Amino acid sequence: MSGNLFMRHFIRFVLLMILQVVIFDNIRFLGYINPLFYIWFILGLPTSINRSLLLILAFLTGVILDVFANTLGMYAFATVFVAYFRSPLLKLVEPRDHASSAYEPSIRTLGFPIFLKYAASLIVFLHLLLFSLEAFSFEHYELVLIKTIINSSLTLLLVLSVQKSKT
Amino acid sequence: MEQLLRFLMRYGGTFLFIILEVLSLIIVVNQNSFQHASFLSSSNQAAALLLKAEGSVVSYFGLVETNQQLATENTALQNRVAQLQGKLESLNDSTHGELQIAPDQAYHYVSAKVIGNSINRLQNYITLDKGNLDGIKPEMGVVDNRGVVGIVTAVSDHFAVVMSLLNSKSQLSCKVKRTNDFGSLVWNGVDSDYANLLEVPRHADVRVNDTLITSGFSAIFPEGIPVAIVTQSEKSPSSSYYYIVGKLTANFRTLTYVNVIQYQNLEELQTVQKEGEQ
Repeated sequence: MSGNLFMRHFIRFVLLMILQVVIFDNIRFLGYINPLFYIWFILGLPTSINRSLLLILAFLTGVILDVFANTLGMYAFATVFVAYFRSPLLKLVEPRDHASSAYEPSIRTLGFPIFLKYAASLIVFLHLLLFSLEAFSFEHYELVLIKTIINSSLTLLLVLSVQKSKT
Repeated sequence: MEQLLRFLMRYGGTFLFIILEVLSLIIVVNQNSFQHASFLSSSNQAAALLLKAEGSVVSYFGLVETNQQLATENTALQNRVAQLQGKLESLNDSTHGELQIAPDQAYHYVSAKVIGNSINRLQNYITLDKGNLDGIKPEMGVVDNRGVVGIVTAVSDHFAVVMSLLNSKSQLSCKVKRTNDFGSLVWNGVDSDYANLLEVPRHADVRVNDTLITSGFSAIFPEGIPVAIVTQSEKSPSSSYYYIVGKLTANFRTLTYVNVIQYQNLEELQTVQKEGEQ
């Protein structure tokens, strides 16, 4: 990673973590609003990144959030999962001419429909995993589904809006 | 060796993936033992300091309500002081100082500020700005001026993590104030204002607007601290228990200052209970 690229992602990482810990993990409205906006960091990393490095970054991100939210391992599990399935999914949805060169997944590089497919599937996955782990039984499945639907939409909306405002 | 290296190069990602996932799952499954490792919870220094900074900003938004609470509590205390003074004087008059009344000091309260609080999860925890050095230990009860808040689970030198009543793992032994019927209070995971009272048998008599108080069985809470007000009480034909919903008296959305309850004779009680079970 070149210095500029590194700094950009590092700053994004710090900002997203602060936002997640201070605001999104702390919304006391209705009792189940908890969008996981921090995942934009994992979604937006360049495709040239080493796979192991990506997994370790995801794990660290998760552990830090776990410490703040007292969720112990849940964020870590869900984030590593998303990070692992990022590149297979990208291969599946990306247009042919992208295959060889490295890029950072965004609306600009992938186009809106493809990016939407990519981001939406990973985001729904992440929320479903995290909320199921939190419930840790099938007793609360209705609540898990409702939380997944509401918060995935919120996160997706946030991710799309930061993208839109940049281009 | 070379083959192993080639294998790792090729499948290293998947390998690492599996290792990291297993590691996280181990932490999730062993949650209870890890909760006592304070560096892995929000009672660790770095996390707590950030939460403290956040809390100092957020607490301004609740100032009006906090002030009102303090004012009402103040009057209640003043009333009590007046009442007790009256009693004391009448006692002094009648006995000429011969009778000695031993003050009941079994419980001691420590005031603490809430610096982290969530209500949007299934397992909600609260972080306090007092810890080991202030005499706080795991298994101590936490109340605010309206009712029970939770139980301390992890403690570092300066901070403590409390398992809130709004936690699907929390179970609190309660009784109905009017009739002394026992049950255990469990949160249903949905609404931060309501919880269910389970295991109250059908032959009991529980009505809407009854007050639920702590039972005093566990020494975590003294007897008689308000927990909830019954809003729904039904006997379902299929179950041998009541279906009871109560509105929690503590307001978890605006929690700012709480009291941690220290039971002075905790160790003594625990050893006696242990001996009794043998």
